Amino acid sequence: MQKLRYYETLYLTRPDLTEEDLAKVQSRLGETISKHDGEIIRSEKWKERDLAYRINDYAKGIYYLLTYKSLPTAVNEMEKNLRLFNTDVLRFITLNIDEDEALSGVDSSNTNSDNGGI
Amino acid sequence: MEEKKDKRFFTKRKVCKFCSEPIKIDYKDYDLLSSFITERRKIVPRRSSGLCARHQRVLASAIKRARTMALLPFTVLH
Repeated sequence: MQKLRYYETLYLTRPDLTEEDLAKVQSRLGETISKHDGEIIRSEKWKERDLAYRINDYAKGIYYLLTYKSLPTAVNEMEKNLRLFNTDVLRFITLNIDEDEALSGVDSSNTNSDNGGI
Repeated sequence: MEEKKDKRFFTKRKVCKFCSEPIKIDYKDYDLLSSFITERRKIVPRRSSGLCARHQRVLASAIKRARTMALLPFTVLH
């Protein structure tokens, strides 16, 4: 049996994304995680932020940070799903993180959600 | 003439910031990372950042991750 691992996925959506479409993305990701024996540990939304450069003519975007625990097979499917929403999700990145990092919950993302950035 | 100019420069020995302080390098912490990029948005070299090889490496990959996520710019020309 494969071991459950901790991952975090940061994804960037366009700023004018409707709640409905966002819910679609989020439920799809949630389903994928639970399908792979995983669970969501934390889900954060950062403040709307000016992007460092324009992506598809969007100068702003909203970041969502998802921390979860699942089988390694989930990552491939997560990224495949995010790619499906490529008009709504502009960028994404998934990293394998340490257990204590995943469970501590106090990292830089808290400061990020408070300020507008550089 | 006894007045010989001492040409040696005394520079403070730099200690790696991430070795001396318990800070984790994280690509999401763009405020911290932005202090390690130049005005032209390049990654500051080791000789001026004063980091050890390991942390410079980790920092460079964190900056590159932040760049692909549009948290940091690649250049000033965007």
